[in-house]
Amino acid sequence: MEKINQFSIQRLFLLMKRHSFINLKTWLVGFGAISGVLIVISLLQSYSSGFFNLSALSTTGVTFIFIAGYLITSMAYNEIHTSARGQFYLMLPANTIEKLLSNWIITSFLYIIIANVLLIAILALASLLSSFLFNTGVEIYNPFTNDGIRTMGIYVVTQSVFFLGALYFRKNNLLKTLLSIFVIQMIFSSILALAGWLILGDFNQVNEESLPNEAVQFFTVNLPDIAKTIFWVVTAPFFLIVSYFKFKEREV
Amino acid sequence: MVKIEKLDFGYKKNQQLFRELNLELQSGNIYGLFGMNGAGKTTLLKLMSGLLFPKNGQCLIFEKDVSSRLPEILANIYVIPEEFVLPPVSIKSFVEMNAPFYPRFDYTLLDKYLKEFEISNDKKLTAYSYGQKKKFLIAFGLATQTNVLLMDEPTNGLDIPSKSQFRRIMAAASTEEQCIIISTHQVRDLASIIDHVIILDNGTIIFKHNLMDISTRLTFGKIKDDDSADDILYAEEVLGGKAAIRKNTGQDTAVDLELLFNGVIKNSEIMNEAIKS
Repeated sequence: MEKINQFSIQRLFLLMKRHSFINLKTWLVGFGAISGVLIVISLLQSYSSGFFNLSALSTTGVTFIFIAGYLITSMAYNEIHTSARGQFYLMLPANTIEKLLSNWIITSFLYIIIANVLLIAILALASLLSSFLFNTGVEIYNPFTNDGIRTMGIYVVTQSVFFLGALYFRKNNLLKTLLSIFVIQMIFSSILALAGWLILGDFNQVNEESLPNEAVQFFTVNLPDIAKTIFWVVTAPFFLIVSYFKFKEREV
Repeated sequence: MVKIEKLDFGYKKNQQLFRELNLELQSGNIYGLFGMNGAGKTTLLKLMSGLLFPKNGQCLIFEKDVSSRLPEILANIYVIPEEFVLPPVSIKSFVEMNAPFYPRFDYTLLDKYLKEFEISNDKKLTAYSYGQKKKFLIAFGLATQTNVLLMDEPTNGLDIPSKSQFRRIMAAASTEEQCIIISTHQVRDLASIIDHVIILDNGTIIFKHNLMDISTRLTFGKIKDDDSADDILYAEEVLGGKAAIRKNTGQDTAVDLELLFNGVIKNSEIMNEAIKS
């Protein structure tokens, strides 16, 4: 009997399959709409400029991928926010980690890889159409460069905030998460500004020469390093752990 | 099998629904959980399944706290709720998505129950009527073969032939390893299938006896309007006279659950004493 309580890859895959099956239609409609918009934008751009601007289009595509990803993440726990649907999910014989990880893997890693592969296909199609209609060159987008992979990493980290928002807020999760980010950022910035003002005094009088070397070193080297470490190492695990406890105490 | 120990629960801090509630249910039985609207039947089922957490005390299934939601416990409970929304998928897809989580799921049994309930397998679940969806859930719940099966108002929304089908299926499906708890206020629908009666009133279990004891100690029947014998425990006006519960003095009658329920709600102490004595 005890073995059944241990983490099971088989159940994790079953949960992922179940989640994908229930949401597949919504995802396909979303991807279809984004593909259409991207192709139209690329054709208009090629028509007006006379060349296929892969760089600008890929940036637009990645922006769409981020927005769609946050939207999909915000819908990840729609099932448990109504008692009439949520009880089936909560009663499924799988442990909390499996239920949490299945949704997170789908909306983070799996999503960003599939979305990028689809972006390659959409931009290739747009490039071919543009070449056929306006005699522009054919270019293929490659997201698997250092910068591309770093962008995917940024998505995975920032997505974890929306993942917690999806669990925490019952309605309008995306908007409420954005509002929370804004409010927290404002509070954080105000505290930093106040601390800076208290320590350094009038900002207009402060320059590198007026500060001790240690302070310059701290603000220009150490602080950015700390911020990077917090972003890449702490953010996603922190929000996932909070999500875990939030999910564990979920009732109908 | 199911044990509730000193359970306290309330939706609001200053409004306790259950206070120090104790209850023990054994396998091999079908319990009828009766109560008026708002008595706490659905809440009790949710606490038993771990969908709600008690403020104090605990609910144990096989000695394990249900609120831990361990797969071992969840694989042994199936809840058929009164209100539910099913996903817009076919029966086949629903079964494919959910059945593998239940180690003892029996696909042959599911087909058998679906046939008995006359549920075709060709539409999306959202296209079925409420009663058909409920019958599908009952069939699925029975096919999971979990040890604990909790049903909240299972006959609500079922037409008259479906209610008979339900009673027939339930009578045949329950096993010695299973503990089935059926919560309802439609007492007549379940008279033939339950073997224990639990009556809940204002968050308190005011009556819990098995049907055998009830029928041994009490008789149910009509009396004359002017009958005021000492052994009458409860009487109420019915069409063409009065129906009464009396102490059994050697005459066995079928248990009238509706009459019993009304009698217990009116004065549970008298009924409990009559059965114990």
